[in-house]
Amino acid sequence: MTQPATDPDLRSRRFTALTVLGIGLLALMVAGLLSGAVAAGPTDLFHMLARRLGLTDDPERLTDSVLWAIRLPRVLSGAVVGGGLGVAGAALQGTFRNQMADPHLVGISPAAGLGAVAGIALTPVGGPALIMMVGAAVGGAAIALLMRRTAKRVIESNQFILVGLALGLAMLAWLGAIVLAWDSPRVPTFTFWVFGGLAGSTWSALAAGAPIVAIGVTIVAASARSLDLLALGETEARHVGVEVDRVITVILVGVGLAVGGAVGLGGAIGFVGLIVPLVLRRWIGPTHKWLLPASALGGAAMVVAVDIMARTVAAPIEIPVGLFTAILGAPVFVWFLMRVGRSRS
Amino acid sequence: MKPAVRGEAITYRRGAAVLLDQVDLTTDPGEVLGIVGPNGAGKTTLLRILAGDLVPSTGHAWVQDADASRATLLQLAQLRAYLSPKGVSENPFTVRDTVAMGRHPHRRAMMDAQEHETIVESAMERTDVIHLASRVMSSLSTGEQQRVGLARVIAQETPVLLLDEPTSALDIGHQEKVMRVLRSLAGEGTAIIVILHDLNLAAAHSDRIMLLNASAAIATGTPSEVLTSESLTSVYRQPMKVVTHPHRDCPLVLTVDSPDRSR
Repeated sequence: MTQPATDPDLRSRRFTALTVLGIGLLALMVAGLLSGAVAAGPTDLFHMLARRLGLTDDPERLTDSVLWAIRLPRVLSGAVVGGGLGVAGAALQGTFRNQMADPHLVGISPAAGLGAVAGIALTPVGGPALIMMVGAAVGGAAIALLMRRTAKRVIESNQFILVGLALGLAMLAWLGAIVLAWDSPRVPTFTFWVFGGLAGSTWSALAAGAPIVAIGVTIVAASARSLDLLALGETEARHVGVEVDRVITVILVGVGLAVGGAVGLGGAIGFVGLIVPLVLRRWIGPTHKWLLPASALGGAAMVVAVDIMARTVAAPIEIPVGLFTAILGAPVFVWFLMRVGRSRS
Repeated sequence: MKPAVRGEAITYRRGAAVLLDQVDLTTDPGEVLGIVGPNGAGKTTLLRILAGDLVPSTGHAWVQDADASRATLLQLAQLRAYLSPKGVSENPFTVRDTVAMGRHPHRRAMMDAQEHETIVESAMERTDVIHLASRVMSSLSTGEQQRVGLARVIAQETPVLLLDEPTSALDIGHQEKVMRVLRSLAGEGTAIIVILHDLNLAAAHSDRIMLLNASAAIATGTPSEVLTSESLTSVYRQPMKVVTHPHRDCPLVLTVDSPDRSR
């Protein structure tokens, strides 16, 4: 593979970024395990792990079950959701050469929500979470491919974002109508489909959702080099030998799976897929081989961090995760666009 | 000698409109073929058919032995490089990364990273963008982006270059410089087909010129054969006078006023 001479500064920034994000994610996950209504310290965490691994015969403590059955699946779900959204956002921005492309904004999250509700409807009572997750993934992938067809007919990429916004709002309305009319305890509340939430995280949901996110992320990661070449423009990428139509279809299916799994696990959480790749691209450059893993780590860290805030700021009341990502993310996004605008004029 | 590019009776229709009508063309290795003609004459359509982007309604296009509408994208990418007049302005990559993308078709070649790198460096030097190597594409002027685009297609190292107005955003110094670069590439055996709006640029630097008008090839030949006062005046609907360049062995095209206004 062609390795263009990279300036040492950029190389060290990539290394620093991945290290900082990796360690930061681990630290945040530990913090996530230790924060909540039931006080738990590092020793309780070790106790739980030791018992789980069969290393001790100590009697079970209250914190053991809280940490194992409630907090660990929740923290892991947050990381999986954030990682999937970060990668999906980076891939969408690369595919459409538009910094405003975001799984939430272009309507993939609401479509995944509709798919998830359809999946719930098809699941027998007490059935596995997998059908719902698959439904979400199918919904996400389907709308992503529809967006691609639309984007081909729209000349301005900003118009394409507007089309996605309109379709997304319409689907959100349908989703709301169905959820409110159905009014079943089997269906998560409307808030979950608009602002997300990790309160309901379970091991069984994680076991169904995480592989779907992982498959989606793997598909996207395999196209990292093609994503770079798409920056030339679709025609130009074709001229250097990229099978553009096939590559974009594959990437969008990957994005649909990653977002679908994420929505199935944590509902619709906005701004993660938007600002994480945006900030990281400024830090470590646009090369997707580095940007994708960094976005996975950064997105995971962001959702885990925000989830800690969501359940501690107004405890015992839970605030939906997506409210925080929007409150924090929107100003960062606007500030960023203004900076980009200034650097260009 | 076997032609590097061959077009046979190329006709291209879109709906009822005939965008190209029975155009024949050949270009040999080492030759610069200039394509000139008014807006809407079919120049870009012809180039895109030769590139394999568009499939002719009837007729055929070959790049070396490859049928342009049948070969795979990777095969074509190893045979021809294409430069369109406007690049993508939102490209977040650096100039060096962008030029290196031209190496993509050769990524499986038996070549170490250093050789690829040397080719990228020399392409950037040729089009005078080496000093911009670490700059981000979206921060460059249109003309600079155009020179980076040219460096990218040079780095692709194909036997055929298809260039659509490679000088449209360049100052006059860089226009001449780019045309000299094309001449030197031709000297190394590359076949070059280049669309130009500046007739004097085409006259000074092309081996042969094809004049397109209203979807048809009006004339193909040496610059002095094709660029005549009569042909240009009728094709461009603008009175023209062609004289001999005082310092170069080529025609010099001048616009003149209509006879009724030059009393």
